Amino acid sequence: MSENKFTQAAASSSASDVILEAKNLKKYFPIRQSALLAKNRKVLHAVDGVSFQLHRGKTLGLVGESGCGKSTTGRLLVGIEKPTEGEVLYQGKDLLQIKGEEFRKARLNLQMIFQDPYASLNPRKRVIDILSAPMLYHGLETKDTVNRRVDELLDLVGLPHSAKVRYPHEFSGGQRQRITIARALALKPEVIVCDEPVSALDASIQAQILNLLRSLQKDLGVAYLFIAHGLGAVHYISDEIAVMYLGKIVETGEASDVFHHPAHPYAQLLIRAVPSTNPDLRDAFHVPDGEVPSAIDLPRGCRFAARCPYATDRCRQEEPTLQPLEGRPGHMCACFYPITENTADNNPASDASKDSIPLNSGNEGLLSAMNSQKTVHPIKTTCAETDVAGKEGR
Amino acid sequence: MTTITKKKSVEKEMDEESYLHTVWRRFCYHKPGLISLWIVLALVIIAVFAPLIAPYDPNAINPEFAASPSLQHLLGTDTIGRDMFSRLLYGLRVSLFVGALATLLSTALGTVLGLIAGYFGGIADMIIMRITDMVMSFPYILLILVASVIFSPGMWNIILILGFVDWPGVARLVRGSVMEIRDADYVQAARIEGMPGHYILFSEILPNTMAPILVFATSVMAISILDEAALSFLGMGVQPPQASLGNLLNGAESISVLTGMPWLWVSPGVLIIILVICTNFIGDALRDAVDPSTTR
Amino acid sequence: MAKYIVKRLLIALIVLFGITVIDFGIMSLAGNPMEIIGAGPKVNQAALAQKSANLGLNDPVPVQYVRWLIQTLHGNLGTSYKSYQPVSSMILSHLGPTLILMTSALVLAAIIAVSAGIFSALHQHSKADYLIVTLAFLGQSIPQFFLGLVLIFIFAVKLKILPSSGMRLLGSDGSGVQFRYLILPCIVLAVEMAGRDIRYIRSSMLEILNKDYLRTAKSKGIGRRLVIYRHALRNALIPIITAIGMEIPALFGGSIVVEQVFSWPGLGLMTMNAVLQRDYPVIMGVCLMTAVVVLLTNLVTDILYALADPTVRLE
Repeated sequence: MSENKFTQAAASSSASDVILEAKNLKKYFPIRQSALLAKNRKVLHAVDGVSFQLHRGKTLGLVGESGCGKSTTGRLLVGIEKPTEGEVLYQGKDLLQIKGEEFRKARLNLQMIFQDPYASLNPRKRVIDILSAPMLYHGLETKDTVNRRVDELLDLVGLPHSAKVRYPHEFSGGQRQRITIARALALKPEVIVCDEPVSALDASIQAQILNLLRSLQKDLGVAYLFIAHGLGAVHYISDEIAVMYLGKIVETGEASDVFHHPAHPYAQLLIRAVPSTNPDLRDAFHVPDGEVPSAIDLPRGCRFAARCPYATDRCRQEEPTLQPLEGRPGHMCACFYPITENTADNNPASDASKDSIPLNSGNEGLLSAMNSQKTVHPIKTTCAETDVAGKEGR
Repeated sequence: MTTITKKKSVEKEMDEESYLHTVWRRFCYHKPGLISLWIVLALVIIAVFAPLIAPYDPNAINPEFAASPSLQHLLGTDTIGRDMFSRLLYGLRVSLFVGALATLLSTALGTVLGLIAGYFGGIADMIIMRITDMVMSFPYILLILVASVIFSPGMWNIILILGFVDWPGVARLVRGSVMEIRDADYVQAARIEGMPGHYILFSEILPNTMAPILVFATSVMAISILDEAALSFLGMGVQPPQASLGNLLNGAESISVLTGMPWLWVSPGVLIIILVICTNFIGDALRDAVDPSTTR
Repeated sequence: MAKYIVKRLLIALIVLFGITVIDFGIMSLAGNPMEIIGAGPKVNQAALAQKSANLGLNDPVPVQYVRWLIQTLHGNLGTSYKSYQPVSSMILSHLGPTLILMTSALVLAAIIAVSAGIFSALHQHSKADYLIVTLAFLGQSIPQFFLGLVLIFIFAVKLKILPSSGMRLLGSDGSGVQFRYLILPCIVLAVEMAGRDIRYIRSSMLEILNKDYLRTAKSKGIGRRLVIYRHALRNALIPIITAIGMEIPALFGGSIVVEQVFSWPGLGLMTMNAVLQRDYPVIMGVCLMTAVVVLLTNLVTDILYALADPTVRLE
């Protein structure tokens, strides 16, 4: 299995640092059509064999469009969903196997920040109650010490002490998100799953919250699984990035490597979606017309094939697995034709023939192409090349 | 150490007060509701202190029977010479007591069943909802009638019967809001924090369903008072000589009382109407006051 | 749709079964009816014991229930302990007057509630609106028996223009007479319903009137009248159907009280007598019949609801 290869590859790099590991996680939701017609029950493949490692004090960005299963993955990790298959290893122990006190302690180390700061705080509770209840219940603090600890938490997230006697509705969205961060930190977790923590906030507030998360990581050494639908925020905060498409990870690697040199056509698509100040970059990428296949009736072959501009017959027949990319340590991609760097755009015929499709990716590549003035619209040219490649394939 | 806890409790009180203050402020916008609240409060005080206020023993038989209202007997006397005003006070006391207790019982029962059905779902939900269907698709008064005659009529049995018949509305309401809140992010957060089920159910979910429960309870109260009156009127409720607003009206079924002694049946009837209409207005005002969508 | 109806029917059957079990359970808790019926000095205890045995009242309760169920499934509701008449024929002979009363009250209440509710919503915050809402509150809050007494006092005792009680049959005096007898009980039965439904229909109508599509219709310059008739009323049909459907159980209950006050010779009066006399077969029969009617009405309401509102999901 490709997932195993991936985990082995990653494990070899820094095995001791791994705090949380997902092994071949699967989550299928049964689709209830009718109680009377239970026989042809269908399932939605929300998460379909996802593996990754989270390192102590580091951030893994999990990116994909809505419905790709990234939020479900997050929920599987913190235990509010039970996986259909697979393991969640916390410090090497399977969370689904351990029981009792050990389990309770382990899961307290996995906390979560939600997307909507308006829905994630109980409107009937004051901040002090929200923050102190779990600490008191788990015996981390006593009634006498909890007040000071709450002050400490509020200091950490940059809220005044006076905030604790107020109700959530008295705060703005950004302030509320600070409260939810404080709540997540209250139990001194080692891992926080951040489920799109800034996407419901104003752009100016987003940066503040991201900076807060980063400085908290530096000070407390907490690891983040940072879930987002776009690469913008993820690129800023992550050490590693994993790109998800329809329940599977299609590309993973070091953050700037993935961001600047995406190998999977889907990752490339996501990066193009990041707004740019360079007018030549806008809309230059040919957005595929194909529809996202349903996670209920999955197609044969590569899941992205229907939308992929480079898809060949092989892509439609065979499913690619996550493979290490040559010459790029730690970078893996599930594509038969990974987009490689510097497979120069000036000689389309030779490049389009074999296993890789040339495409200028990342800003530097594009700039160099423009400077060399070989092509005015490098992206469009390469798209034409892929058409050639496709025809050749047939 | 003690100062901290003291400070904490003071802060808590202040904030509780401010939340209630908002509700109260909104409640005051509803003039009929506000007036109704004062009326009901006055009636409750009168009922509580009935033994002190009543000029006569409600069951004592006076020499002048079937007397029309006079200074001596403010509302006259009934056909066997009992002071009507005193009986009215005691009747109010019994009716309020029955209404309040039946409401408390049915609301508590409905809340618990609704919480179970909504939170756990599955088979528990299915069974509870089917029982709810059964009780709801029953001609309500028929069930009460059958039950009350079989369990020998009397005040306590009426309370129990009304309590056990009125809960389905509350149960449905609570179930609905629990199902809505159950998947809310803040409940998920409490789960991730490893909080136990009873904490999540009673501390996270229940407080957020309290407002609609309270509003609904006022309508249950109104219905309970009406039902007690109807049952007692039919002779199946509170049994004489103990007075209730309903059984005071029972005498009016005889044509001589109806035509010749209106003081015997007009006042309890009017009192029931005032009580029920005020309860309904309070419920209406409360609904507006706790509704988060109204911003005032 | 057919699947939905079948499913709902199955659920209704389960509920119906449950209701009969509850009924039977409550009644068996009260003990042997013969002991209560025959609790007099002149009753021959031996004969009573013989009668109990003949009726199978000494058998265990589940056995009695199963016997009743089998009997009922064969269309036999048993015979009255008191009058020895078959329960089904007793119900049938009393059904007519009750149906007349209930139907007329329902129609009256629906006419009042729909017109007043819609009028009130269209003239929100006007004096007429406040008056209607207050009256609706009042209607909901008056005990039916008290309203009955007041109406009898005014129209029968003081004004002497309407009869206070009873029912005159069509054949003997002509329909006019019967109608006179119907007026007061019908009003009493309709008032509470109308009060409740006015408020319900008013608030549903207000909700619809504030919907965006109606604002759009208005802003397109379609006349106010047309907006109301074309768009709002059609959508208001759903809450109206629901409101009326929900009234059926209340109607049955109300008719017991009203028939008692007005000595209306219908099912309610018969039931009341059966309850007082512990005539269990009759009580069981009435409960079963009302439960069937109520469940059927619920079903029909739900189906109408689904038909009127295409967005209702048929799970």
